[in-house]
Formats: sequence, structure tokens, C-alpha cells
Amino acid sequence: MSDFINDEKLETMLDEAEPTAEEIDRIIEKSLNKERLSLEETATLLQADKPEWIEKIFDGARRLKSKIYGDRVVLFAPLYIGNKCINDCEYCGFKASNQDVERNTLSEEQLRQQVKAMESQGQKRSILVYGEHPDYDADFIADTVETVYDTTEGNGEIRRVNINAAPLDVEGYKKLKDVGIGTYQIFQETYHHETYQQVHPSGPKSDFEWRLTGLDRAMEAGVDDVGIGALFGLYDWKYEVLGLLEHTIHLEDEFDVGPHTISFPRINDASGINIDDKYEVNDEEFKRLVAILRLAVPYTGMILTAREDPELRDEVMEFGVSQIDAGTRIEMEGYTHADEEQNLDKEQFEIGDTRSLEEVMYELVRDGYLPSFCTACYRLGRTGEHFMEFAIPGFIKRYCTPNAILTFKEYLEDYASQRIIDEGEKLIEEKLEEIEKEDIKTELIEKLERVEDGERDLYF
Amino acid sequence: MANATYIFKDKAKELIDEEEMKVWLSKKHGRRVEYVFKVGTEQFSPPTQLAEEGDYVLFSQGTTDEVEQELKELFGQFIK
Repeated sequence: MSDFINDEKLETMLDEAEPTAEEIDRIIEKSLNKERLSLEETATLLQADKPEWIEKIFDGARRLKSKIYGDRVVLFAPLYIGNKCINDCEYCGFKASNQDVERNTLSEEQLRQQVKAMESQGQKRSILVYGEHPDYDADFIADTVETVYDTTEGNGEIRRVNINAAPLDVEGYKKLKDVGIGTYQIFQETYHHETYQQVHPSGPKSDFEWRLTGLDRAMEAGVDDVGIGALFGLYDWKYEVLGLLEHTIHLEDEFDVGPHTISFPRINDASGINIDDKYEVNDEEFKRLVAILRLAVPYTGMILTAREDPELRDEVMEFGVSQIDAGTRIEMEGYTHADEEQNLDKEQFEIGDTRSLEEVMYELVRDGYLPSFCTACYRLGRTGEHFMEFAIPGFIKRYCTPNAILTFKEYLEDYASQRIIDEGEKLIEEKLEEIEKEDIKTELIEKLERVEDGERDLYF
Repeated sequence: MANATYIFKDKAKELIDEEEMKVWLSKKHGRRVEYVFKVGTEQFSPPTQLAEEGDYVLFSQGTTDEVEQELKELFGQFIK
């Protein structure tokens, strides 16, 4: 597999896009009919700069979000396993040349303590994060995954472990497939070759092609659940959106399944970073890129990270975000030894949303969102190519809502504060009323009663 | 196992009404239960776990008792 990103092609598409109101309407309508947009169509939306056109795009993204995903938001939390790194990424606090950062790798006992602390809050899904270092090879990652799955606290358990780590070879991915990982996530950071070389001057990450094809090798190994991402602020945001879409199209063409998720973090402050603010993405541009990505890939999960502050997160969620991290701690051992304030010498970057899981849950429920810790698909064989089939006829709304209700009910039973219980029970009643299929509704009510009686991990 | 999987898929296809039923075979990898193949059409109803043996799990939707019995026997042969 070789490099499939052609900078000139993407730049030319942006240069040649000529938006009109009629064309924007047509493109939005195509997306609302649940079809992925082409690169040319997405370039047209990206170049639609008039305020009334931007509002059309926002409205289209809101409608699409409502049509496909409903009010459900999936929650997860990252867990940093080790911050040793042999790369020297200009934007990262963990870069090899940063002597100020405290290096650490969780021991098995420390890992278990972190997992128990997360489980005690109600977390059910985690993404394990590793620096790129010889110590963090596939065997090490596999061992840590098994430890996480194997660690429980009361009714608490992490049911889905995703991975954010360096690209592996096919044999490495096979080892991780065997231990049952969820999504393997690799962010290209920037799809612009020249910029990529500038910000990744040394280490294995300086090889653009090895990183770009990392998820191809995952697919070859049978890991058909992958996540892509770009770090916005390194290069022109419009170009990066096209890069993410080109990556999606490539995976669909080669493997008949696109990425499970797309992430779109913005550069935040970090210890020792050295980044020009020329391509800084402001809040308005950020909202546009989220809305356009939503329209471009109607069925792909979109992850909004805690890098953003709570106000912007609230605003952007209505454009189609399907997953957020909550209660996030990104310092080593952060779930048991959190400082009052962030210390950038201990963390990869500054986060904007430092709310606890309880606070996020309460505010989501108050705002009418249905928080979900669902992990059903990947335990019922609804993965990869099969999952794409489910997505097309509106599956997400029909199965994900009942499963979200069940996992939310578990949270209410085991972890919720009184203010969430008060609001949450009302929310469940409302969501039950909205379920149209009587057989699913009947079975859901029966399963909810079983959760009240102490059973856990029930799903459709 | 690859040939056996193809044979299983073809025979399962013959057993079911592809418009009204759906059957899918999955394989366990740790906690993850991953898709191997499916035949039939999504019914948007709660799945039934028909059989489990070793790492393999068979799910269905919309299947009759008679078909389920035949699928279980087929699954048994596949696992051997």
C-alpha cells in the first residue's frame, strides 16, 4: 500500500470550487439522503463563505444529526498508559526533546488502580493512549488491554477498550485483534506532506507514508474498526477536511468499510511546543468544519474531545458529534492523583473541559441529550462491513437508543447523584415514549426492570 | 476453517428466507465478538443467540423454530 494523498489534487479542488446557493442545497439534500459526499462536493461546502450559506450548512448538519443519531451521545474516557516517546512532534508536550516533562509508564498495579477509579465513576469505555516508544510494542499494548478488561470494581467494568498508539505492522495488529480491542485510532495529524515533514522532524513518525498506511495494515490484519483524525491548526483547515475525506474514501474503496470514527482536535497549549499560529482555527471555522464533516460522512462517528471548552462543546454537539470524552484526565495516574489545576509538564496538552463525569452527565441530561455507554455492536458481531449495513437504513437510531437507555439506566442505578437520578428517570420515560417498534419497546421495558433488579450488561 | 466457513454460509443461505430472516456468524476475540459473515436481511428486531461453541457464536433474527433447529445442526457440523 502506498501514499494515496495527492496535495495538488486536493488544493486544486479547493481552488476550483464555485459554490452557489442551488448547489449547496443539492449537496445538503444528498447528505440528508444518507449518501457520502464526494471530494468535489465537500470542497464546494468548504468554500461556501457567505453567512447565509454557512447557516444552510449548519442547519443541514443539525437535521442530519437529528435524523441519524437522535439525541444520543456516547461517552468515553482516555487513559494514558505511558508518555515515553521517541518522536519530536512540534505540537506535543510529550516530544522526545522536552526535558521538562515527567516520563512514566504505568505498572500493572498502577494501571489497575486507574481502571478501578474510572469504573467507580461509571465509565464503561476507554481509549488507551501510548507514546511511540520501543517499550510500547504490540505485546505490551496487548497485555495492558487484557489487564483493563480483567479489572473490575463492584458493578464497574470497562467493556470496550480502544487504542490510540503508533502504527504497527500486520503481525502487531493481529495480536491486538486477538485480545479484543475496539477501535484502533491513528491520527495523521496533517495530510499536507510539506507541513507533515516540518512538524515531525525526527523519529518513526516522520515517515508520512508509514503512518498514512497504518490503518490499511490494521485492516489487513482483520482489525476492521479504525479511527482517523487530523490535528487542526497545523495547516489550512479546509485542506485537512478534504484529507480526512480522501482517507475515508480510500478505506471504503480498498476494504469496503470506512473509518468507524473521525476526530478533529485543535492544537492546544502544551509544554515546550513550537507552532506557528498561521493556521490557527477560530471557533467559527471550527464549527464550520464540524458541520461540513458531518455532512460529508453521514454514517461515520464523530469524536469531539475535551480539548474544547464546555461552551463550544455544547454548541458543536448539535452539528453531529456522536462521541465525547468526559471526566477526562490526561496526566499519568490522573484518575487517582489529579492536581487541582493542569500541570503541562505532566500532560500532553491543555484541555478545555475539565468537568467531572458527573457534571458532564448532568448537563447532557439537562440539555435533553441521552448519554450512552453502549458497547453492544462489538459484542454482537455488528462490526466492520456488517456495521456499515446496519448504519444505512437508520439502524443507529433504532438500536442505539434502546441500548443507550439501558446503559444510562445502569449509570443511574450504580453511580448517579440525586440530581441526575431526578432528571434521568424523566428522560428515560420520554425516550421510551418515542420508541415506535412495540416489540423493541416491550423488551426494553422488561430489560430495564431486570437492571433495577440488579442485572447488568443487557443489550439489543 | 476458511473453506468450512464458505460452506456454512452457503448452506445457511439455502435454509433461510433471505427477505424475512437474517443469520450471522461471529467469532470472539477477547471481549469483542466480530462479524465473520451474514446471510439474509436486517429485520430490526432483537437478535437471538442461537448457538455458541469455542470462539464462535451464531446469531439470528426472524428465524422460525424449525429453521433455528436446522441452523444449530449446521453450526454443530461447522464447529467439528
